[in-house]
Amino acid sequence: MINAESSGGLPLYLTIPAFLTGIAEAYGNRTALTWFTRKKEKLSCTYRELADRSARLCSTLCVRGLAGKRVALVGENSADWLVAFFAALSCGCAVVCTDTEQSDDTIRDMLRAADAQVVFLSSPFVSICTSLLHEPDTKVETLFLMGGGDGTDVSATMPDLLEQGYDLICTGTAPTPPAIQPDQTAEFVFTSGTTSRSKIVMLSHRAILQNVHDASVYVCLYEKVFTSLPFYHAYGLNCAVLCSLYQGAHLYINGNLKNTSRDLQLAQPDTIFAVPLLVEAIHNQFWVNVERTGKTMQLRRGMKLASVGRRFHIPLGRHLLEDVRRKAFGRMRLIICGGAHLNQDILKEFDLMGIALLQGYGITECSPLISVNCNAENRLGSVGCPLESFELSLVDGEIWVRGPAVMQGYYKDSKQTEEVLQDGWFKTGDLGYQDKDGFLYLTGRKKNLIVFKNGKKLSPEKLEALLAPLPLVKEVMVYGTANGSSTDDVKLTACIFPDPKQTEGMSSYDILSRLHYEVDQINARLPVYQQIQMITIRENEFDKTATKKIKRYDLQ
Amino acid sequence: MLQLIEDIVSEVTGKTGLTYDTDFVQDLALNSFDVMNIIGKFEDHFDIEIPTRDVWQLHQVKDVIAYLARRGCTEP
Repeated sequence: MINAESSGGLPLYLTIPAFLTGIAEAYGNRTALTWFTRKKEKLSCTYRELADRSARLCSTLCVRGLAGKRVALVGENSADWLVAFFAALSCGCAVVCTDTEQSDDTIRDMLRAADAQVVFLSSPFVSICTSLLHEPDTKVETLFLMGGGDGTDVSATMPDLLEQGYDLICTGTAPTPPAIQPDQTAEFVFTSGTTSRSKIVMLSHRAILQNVHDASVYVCLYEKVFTSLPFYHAYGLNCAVLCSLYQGAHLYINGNLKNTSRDLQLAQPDTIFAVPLLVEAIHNQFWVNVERTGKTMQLRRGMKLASVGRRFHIPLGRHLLEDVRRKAFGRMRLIICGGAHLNQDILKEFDLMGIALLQGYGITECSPLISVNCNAENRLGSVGCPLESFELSLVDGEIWVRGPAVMQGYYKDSKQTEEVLQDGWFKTGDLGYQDKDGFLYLTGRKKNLIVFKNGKKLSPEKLEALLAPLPLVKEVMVYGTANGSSTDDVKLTACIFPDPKQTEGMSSYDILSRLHYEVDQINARLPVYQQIQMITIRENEFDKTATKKIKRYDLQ
Repeated sequence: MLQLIEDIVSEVTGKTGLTYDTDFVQDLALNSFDVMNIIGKFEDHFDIEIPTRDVWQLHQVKDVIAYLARRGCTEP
């Protein structure tokens, strides 16, 4: 299903199955995906193979009576993850993109909240999810194993499912999948809310593919693309994966941050999808290596010279910097960066070395890309122009957007949906302005969210809910401060008012020691970037609003 | 083992001067990407797989040494 009104010479697919068929026909035997095993073994599949595997799995799901069910994907980035994604959407299922970096309890909560019925998971998550099969308040009925593993405790493994699908297709007994409508929900994506619970964003086939189309009008990828962005985020899945496949690129997927540097070296890509954390890590490693060669001063001088030359349109130091780029970064020419603020000095240095760094801005509720710089015009400090299908309005400085890529709403949360959607306009909660040419600049946030350099966002209420039950805690407020030298550039601090009854007779030192011990126990269950790094105690209760909420900004 | 950890941390981040009590985040100001990158190097060196969930509990150098010992990793 393709919309006849597609623009820019790019087809506008309306459903994911149509997209899959379209890219398989357009790019057939071209390599679609490549990934590396832990032993550095290189594995690949073509566009045709990706579509064939998805069709086999789709047939199996249909014949097992699972068409139209809610399918959760719980695993690190992998080709199996994508095959399950395409297969599920091809038989009318909606896919629950599950954040695997959360604690075990949170992952189970996510599957319950999204009413997942079928779960595709990789082996580290089997033990976390099996208990759900026996719970009365969940709808989980089937577990399938992605990747390696022996298949104990699951209904079937991916090779079994693909083999069954192959037999169905070869014998002509594969059932016809149900017709998919463009406005059917395709993805359930979790996003940080302003409460302790995450919200579940519902994105339709149409919304996702409109965003993929519009993003591709602005950003032209080179041949070899690398991504380590998690597929459970809209940026990783819709921008990095779907845009790459849409443009016929050869996508290198990395499933684990532990191997990101290694896989980058092995892949030698010319394009990278990244968050500021990765860009800064690449930048740091570059300068560490330069320092080892003793040429730091020489390169700094070369960059300064080139920078001055740029202002007068004189190509000073060009050969030196091109040589540096070739040796340090190989074929790399383009980095697309979003998710959080990026240090502009880094952007300038990459630019001087001939690597364009395009910054964009998105939010899960908008599928996710709202604006991005173009290959042809990259404006420093800006997050680019709004995509073609969006109307953008600034209301008291807050960015509002309207268009076909805006979400359908939050799952089972009409109250929060009504708060952010008004006459089709989505209120982003972000503050910004546009210059005379329409380029968007971000200036801050209205919402109470902590944004990390890895693009992850965290509601402080989530951590406060974990700390509040501690016996010594009467009131707690968590906040993040950017200090440029701690985890992901944000230091998480818990400010605690101890319960006077529980701490009677204890010294401040004893209270703090006990709190540190208990917070360490909580930290051990959290991803590194979410761990609390500092505890302060206060002698008085927090000031409250009329509705008895802590006045956050008085302290921050 | 301390020297090996220092060599790997230095290779990845350029930072030196580790002790048993050094905290990767608080003292060396490493971010989550650096930490995972270092863990990847340990995996390669000892040919073991370290689950991401185990990484959440490795705050200080001594935690890493104790963890590697539990996994049967010894310095060659």
